[in-house]
Amino acid sequence: MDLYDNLALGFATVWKIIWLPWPAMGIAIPLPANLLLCFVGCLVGTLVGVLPGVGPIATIAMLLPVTYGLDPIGALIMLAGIYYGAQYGGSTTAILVNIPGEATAVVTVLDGHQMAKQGRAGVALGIAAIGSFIAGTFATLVIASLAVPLTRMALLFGPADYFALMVLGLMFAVVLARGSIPKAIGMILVGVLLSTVGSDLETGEERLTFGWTEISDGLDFAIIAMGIFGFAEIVKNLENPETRNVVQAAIGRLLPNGRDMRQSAWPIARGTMIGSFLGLLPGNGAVLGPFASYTLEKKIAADPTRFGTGAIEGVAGPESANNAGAQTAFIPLLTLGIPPNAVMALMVGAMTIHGIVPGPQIITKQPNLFWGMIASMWIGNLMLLIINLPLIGLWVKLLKVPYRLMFPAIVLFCCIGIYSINNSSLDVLMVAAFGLFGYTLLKFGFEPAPMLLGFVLGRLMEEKLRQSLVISRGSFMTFLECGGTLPFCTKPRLILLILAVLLVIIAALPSIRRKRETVFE
Amino acid sequence: MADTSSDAKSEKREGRFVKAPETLAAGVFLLVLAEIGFWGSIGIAAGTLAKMGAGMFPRVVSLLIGALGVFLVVQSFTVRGPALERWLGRGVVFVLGAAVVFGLTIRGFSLGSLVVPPLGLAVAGPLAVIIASLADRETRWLEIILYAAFLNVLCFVVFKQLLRLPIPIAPWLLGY
Repeated sequence: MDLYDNLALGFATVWKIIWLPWPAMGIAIPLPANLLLCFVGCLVGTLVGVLPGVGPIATIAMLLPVTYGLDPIGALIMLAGIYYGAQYGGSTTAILVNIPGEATAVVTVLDGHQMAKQGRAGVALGIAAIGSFIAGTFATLVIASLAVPLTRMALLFGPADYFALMVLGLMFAVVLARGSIPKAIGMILVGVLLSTVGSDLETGEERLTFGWTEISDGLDFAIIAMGIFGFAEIVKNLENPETRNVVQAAIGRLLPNGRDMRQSAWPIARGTMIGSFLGLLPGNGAVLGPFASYTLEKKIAADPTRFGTGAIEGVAGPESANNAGAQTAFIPLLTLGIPPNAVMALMVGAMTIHGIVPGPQIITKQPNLFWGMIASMWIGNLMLLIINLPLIGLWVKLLKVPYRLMFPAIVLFCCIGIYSINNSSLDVLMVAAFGLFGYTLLKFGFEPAPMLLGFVLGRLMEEKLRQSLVISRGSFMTFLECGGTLPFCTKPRLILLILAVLLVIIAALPSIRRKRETVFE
Repeated sequence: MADTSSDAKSEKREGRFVKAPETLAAGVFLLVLAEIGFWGSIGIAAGTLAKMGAGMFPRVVSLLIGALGVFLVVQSFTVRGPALERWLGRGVVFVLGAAVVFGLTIRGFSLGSLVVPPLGLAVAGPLAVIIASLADRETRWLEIILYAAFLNVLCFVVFKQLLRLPIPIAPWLLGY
């Protein structure tokens, strides 16, 4: 079977022994370098997941320069580990301290911390880890089995189809964003506008640079992301001094008993499915998974009043959902070359550094990179299960470090990281400028995530739009072509655009709008 | 305390002309961005639809942003919405100031007669930590100075020794 061969190639890539020169000793030592990098990624991911106020976006942006010297496969395996590792870590903080370590662990707080107060912190942590592992395993299989057909489909896409697909993706980001729809659309367009800064791809003319040659190569995504998710977030966090009360009760046994497992089995299965699906969607997809899972579990529970008082289903479902979503978010990037969120956009950055163009050609041209990454996700999930539970004591100690000591360190690491990307002190100043920009956005009630997505897709969208119009000799009718009778199109563009329009109409309906507002409360 | 005062404010606002100050600010902000975008691409050829020039896309996007800005401004006069949030000036000044000082001192700069030599991480690092820490009222001086020193040694070992990033440490003392 193909899938089996592909996964075997992937595992072989992860386990590959690489002879690393050791200049100090004058010898080379054999090491499973990719496996070690996977471990490092998972460990760093858990760390930033545990620490509230440091997220995977800022961390990956910070660590980009570190990956310059690494082999591309190892670099990507490590960065991926940071992302899904953070989902594991976020739940630890949610359960023990009553504040989410990551945005995706917001709902875990509700029942997880109640369980901790009842002396069942260990069980909550245990079920979160087990659920995440099951979800991670399932998501790995989803990626592995969807990859080949999706890539084949992507090869049939023309420029107009790509453009329509990105419009649909951005509409998903609008609908899934918090707050008002016009504001979210505004944010997307601002992101697209920012992506046009620099010299034009075709003509080389300088756009929006105002004669400033330093930005004629365009704005760097890592700088924007760091300004908004590093600096603006810190200022925002300083506004509401949090009270951290690490739970005093004993953590208790970690392994859930038979009854806990029976209660959690279906929520884990449902959470995994919901998370896997929502993770595919651009924008807030991965964040929305846990919300959807919690709402569903509460709705179908025999006794919904148990939720909020320490129901194990309220931990098992959402924790599985966020982990599944974090992994399926790789699918659009790896198969279509379209990053669905800010973390994936940084992965594009890491790929470009190593001369890899993300898109459907990766799977055929660099199969060991593609399958190695997928296999590393499963191995990473296994590692997380093993490193997380015994290290709980260490995380608890870390959580006792007050924010007043943590944020200056984050500021310093961010500065060093950004400086090192291009060895440019101007970049550090630009981060400060984008920090101010991001803080202004937050204060005016804009959500910055759609803007980043707009920025990421903007350049590609313009390119595809221009290509399609060249092909159609300037006629927009090309976007309404179907290549058959309507439901059976050979060209997906029309269907994608119809879906995009429907999505916005549905989101604007009064009844849905109210529901949308309650979900994001 | 803070809650009751903002409640009182929102009641007072009911009869006012602007019904949603935050939305108004957001709309004006978008209009400003649209203006910058339009202005920044004004001299560049738009071309035709069949052969789009470099100027068309940014200009069209700017116009769309402007349209949304107008929409939000109109909405702020008709639909009631939230008040503007207070800004944490202290946080903005010191956290972002720390990055600015780091950027200016790490490799130095010259602006007219003001010349700062490249000071390297040994100076820029602790400066950034100490300035950033001023953003929080709870900061204690002795603690933060010792902490800055500790972080700097840590960064030297991790970023320079282990990861070998080409960041200057103390050019005035060590020559690198």
